[in-house]
Amino acid sequence: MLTSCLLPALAAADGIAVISHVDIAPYRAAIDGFQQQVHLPMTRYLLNKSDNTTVRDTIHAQQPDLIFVLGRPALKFARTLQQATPIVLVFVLHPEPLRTNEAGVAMTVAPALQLKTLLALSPNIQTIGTTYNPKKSASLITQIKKETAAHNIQLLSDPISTHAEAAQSVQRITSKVDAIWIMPDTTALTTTLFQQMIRLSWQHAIPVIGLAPKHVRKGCLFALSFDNRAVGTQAGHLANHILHHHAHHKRTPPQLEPLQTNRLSLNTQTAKILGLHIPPQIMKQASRIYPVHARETH
Amino acid sequence: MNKIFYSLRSRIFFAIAALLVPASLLLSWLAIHQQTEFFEQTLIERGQVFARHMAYGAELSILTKDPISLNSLLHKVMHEKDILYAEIYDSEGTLITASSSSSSAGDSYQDPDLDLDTEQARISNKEEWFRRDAHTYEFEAPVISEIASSDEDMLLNTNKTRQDVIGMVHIALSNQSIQSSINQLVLQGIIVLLLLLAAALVVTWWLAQLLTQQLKQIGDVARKIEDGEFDQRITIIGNDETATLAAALNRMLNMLSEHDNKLHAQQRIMQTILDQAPIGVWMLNIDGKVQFINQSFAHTLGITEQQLLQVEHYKTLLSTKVANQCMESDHICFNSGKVHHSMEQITDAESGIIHSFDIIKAPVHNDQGEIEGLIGLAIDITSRIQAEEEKASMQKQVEHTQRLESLGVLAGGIAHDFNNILTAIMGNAALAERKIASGGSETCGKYMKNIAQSSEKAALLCKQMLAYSGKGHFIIKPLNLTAMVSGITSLLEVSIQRTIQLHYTLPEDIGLIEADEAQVQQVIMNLVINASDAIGEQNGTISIVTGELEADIDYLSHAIAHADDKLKAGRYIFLEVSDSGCGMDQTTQQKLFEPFFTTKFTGRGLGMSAVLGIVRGHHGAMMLYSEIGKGTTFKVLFPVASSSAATAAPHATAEPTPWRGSGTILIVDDEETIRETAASMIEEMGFHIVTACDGLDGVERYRQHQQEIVAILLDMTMPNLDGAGCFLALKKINPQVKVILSSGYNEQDSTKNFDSQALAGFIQKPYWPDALENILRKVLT
Repeated sequence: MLTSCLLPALAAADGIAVISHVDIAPYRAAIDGFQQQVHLPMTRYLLNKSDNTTVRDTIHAQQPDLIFVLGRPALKFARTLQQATPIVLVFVLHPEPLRTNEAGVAMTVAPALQLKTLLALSPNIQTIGTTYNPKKSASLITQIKKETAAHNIQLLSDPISTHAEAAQSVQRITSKVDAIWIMPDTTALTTTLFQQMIRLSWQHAIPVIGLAPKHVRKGCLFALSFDNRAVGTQAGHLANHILHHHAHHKRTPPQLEPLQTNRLSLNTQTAKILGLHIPPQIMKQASRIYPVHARETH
Repeated sequence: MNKIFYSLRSRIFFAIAALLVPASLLLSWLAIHQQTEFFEQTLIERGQVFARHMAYGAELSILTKDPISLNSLLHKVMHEKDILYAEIYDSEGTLITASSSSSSAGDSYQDPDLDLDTEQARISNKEEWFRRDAHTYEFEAPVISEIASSDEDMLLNTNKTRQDVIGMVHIALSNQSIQSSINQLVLQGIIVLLLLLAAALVVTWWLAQLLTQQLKQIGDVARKIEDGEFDQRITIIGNDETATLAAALNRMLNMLSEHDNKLHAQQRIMQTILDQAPIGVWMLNIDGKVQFINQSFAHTLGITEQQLLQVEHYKTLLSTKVANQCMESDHICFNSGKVHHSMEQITDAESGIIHSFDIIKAPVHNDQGEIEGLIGLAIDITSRIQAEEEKASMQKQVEHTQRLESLGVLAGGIAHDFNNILTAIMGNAALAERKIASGGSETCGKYMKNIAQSSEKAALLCKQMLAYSGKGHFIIKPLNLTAMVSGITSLLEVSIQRTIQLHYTLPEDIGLIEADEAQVQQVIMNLVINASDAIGEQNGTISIVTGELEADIDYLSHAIAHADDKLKAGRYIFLEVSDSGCGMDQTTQQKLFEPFFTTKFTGRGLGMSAVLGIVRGHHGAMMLYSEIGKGTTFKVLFPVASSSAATAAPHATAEPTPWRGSGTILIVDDEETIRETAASMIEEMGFHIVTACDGLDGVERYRQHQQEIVAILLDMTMPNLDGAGCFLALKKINPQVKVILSSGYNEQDSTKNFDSQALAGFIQKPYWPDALENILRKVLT
């Protein structure tokens, strides 16, 4: 049962504390998926930007069996509770090294899968370029390098620390690569820079791998992203597992599970501009095809 | 000029123009102002669009710090119209690039009107900014870089972003082009306004003329009507309200014209009536100026209407006497403010006859109640006065005639009585003569006494006859009705049939009436004679009753009286004459008092009308009770005299004392027997006698014996020179002469031609020696 944080009296019982800093559709979908798996009473807490003392006191009083956090601010808040209560986190991109009582579901799709899809769409790729902030995406770049190397593909990764550097980097590498891989890094991408990137992509006929369906809609060739509800469901399984071990006084190693379910978004218009043919099996895998009428065409 | 300016057409024109001109100016000003604002707003919007566009285009160039791109951007912007200069700054406010015409001298941007902190705050707040002065419009727009809110948001399919300001663009636009456009617009607006205004004024003038055309015609027609041209009509133009008004006015003029014709006809009739009316009608103002006078009265005055209407005051055209008379009554009328009646005499200018006018003057008030003149009416009452005089004269004549007629009735009885008296006188005189001749004069006294008694009866009868004939004199004096009836019993007795008995009920203690003795006697006589006639030759009785009664209005309402004489309740003296005759039917009673109505063979039918006339003349009344076969009663009422209390006390007859006179008495009489008898009487008193046979002789005798003569006994009617002429001659000789007039007529008739105070005394014939002695003694002592 999901109970509002505004009803602390009802929340004074063991169960799941659900914490988020915003109430947006992806979070609600994830919570639904989580709730389908975890059959314990749930109390929903929505954080304020200024003072969360009441939320903190309520959770202390509740002493939940598990805390389900959505997003980085919620994780930060949960860590300030200084409790040994297990925490399951979702929608946190680059979490610091997880603590012993923390586990979660990763936000990024496995690079190998993405590279496989890219090659299925554009088999002649030799060089892939990307700009990244080493402070944020170093580990991800490492994984990508490993995968590209396995396919004899060169990864031209250009480290940047500012938007200006990102802009200059994009200008610089575009003429040197066969595809661009966008990193989930705000330092490396602004709205204008994305548009410039797409413009250059179309100009030079090089595909851009997006992060989310919205990028595909705006011109990226494809994107492999997660399903919000599936993330919640996966987190629910994880929570059940943790709660089971916790009940038997077993400690579970901290882990960040990779996404088990991916969704493919395709832009057939971009593919056409780039002169690429989308294989039927890829088309079948796509859960979203842009432009919207393109699925009917194909 | 003023007339044109204040005409309705001009007023309409100026009224509309007064609205039109400021309204046009206001609308033009509003239009120009709005257009100016539109130009300015367009310029501002253009500047803002330019600034935003530059900021958008400059984002990537700022991020890449690409001067070529930035200069290219500036170059494009500078080609746009009205752009003075453009500048691009980074987020620190440092100038990255600027157009060649930029005013920025240094590398850093700072608004001259703002401090650096404020400017930084504005940039960090991503505010757009706009400023203008007389010639320049300056705009700023932040260069914004949009970034996902967080790394996770890049993966989540949401649009949560944040905006970072990475620089700023600053451009300046000149308002020169819009200023020239505004100037051109103003010029065009003024030209168009003037043209439209001129056209509107022309149309307004035409419209005003159109609207007032009908009214002007109405005004022209009204002026002609004012001059009396009622045949004028308005030509109806169109079918609007003024046309309706004109049609209504035409209908009104038709009615007015009809009424005017009727009025003129009535005026002509009235003028004719007034001009020909036998009355004068005029009107004056308060200053005496004649406003109107009718023709007939002006003609009577001998002045034309035009003359009277022209003069400032009518007095200048009238004689002084008449003018003063008129002005005095005018003055009374003006001062009193009431209707004033007067009688004025005006001599007819043409015939010279004096006309008597009953003048009525009524004040005329104005609306404020002030007197502003008078209306005079003059009614010529000359004929009426003459008619009344003639009527009175006729009445007298009728009465006198009737009196004489009744004297004829008396004549038979009087002749009978006189013959009896004369028989006694003649018999006794013959017996006395025989006795004297036979020497037995001592027994003559008895016969002489009989003669004297018979003579006294004859004298009384003559006196009553004389009094009854009366000569019609109307002398009102207090009278006792009982005494009057008593005084004429002899006449009454000789006037009726011998077979009729007279019964008197005559109380002495009744009040007096104010009446003419002769007329009241005539009433008594007529009633008794009529009563006798009603009884005829049969045996019968006539009752004569006098008395006093209290009559109320109800009682008097049954009386026959003068129509104009409203009888008042009070005490009345009555005379009642009743007979046991045949009585009268209703028809006879109704016609009884009509002149010339008679039931007698010999009568002229004036008796009862004369009686009624006399009674009415004395403010009395009559009552009539009559039944066929039973008789008739007349009751005459006279109001009690106000001086009734002063009832004349009966004369105390003093016992005569022996008196002896001295001197000479002149006896003037044409009758020798009278002269001798009088001489004998006077000689017995101790006087000497001189006699004269007529007036001339008397005058001569007086001249001869003036010194001895102490008094003159003068007859009235004599040949050669009558008593009056003789009296005047004697007075001329000696104004102090004492003349005693002697006449068979009563004193009033005899002395009317004499100065009553100049006569020493009067004695009526026949007279006894005692009476003569008394008058002589009275005159001479």
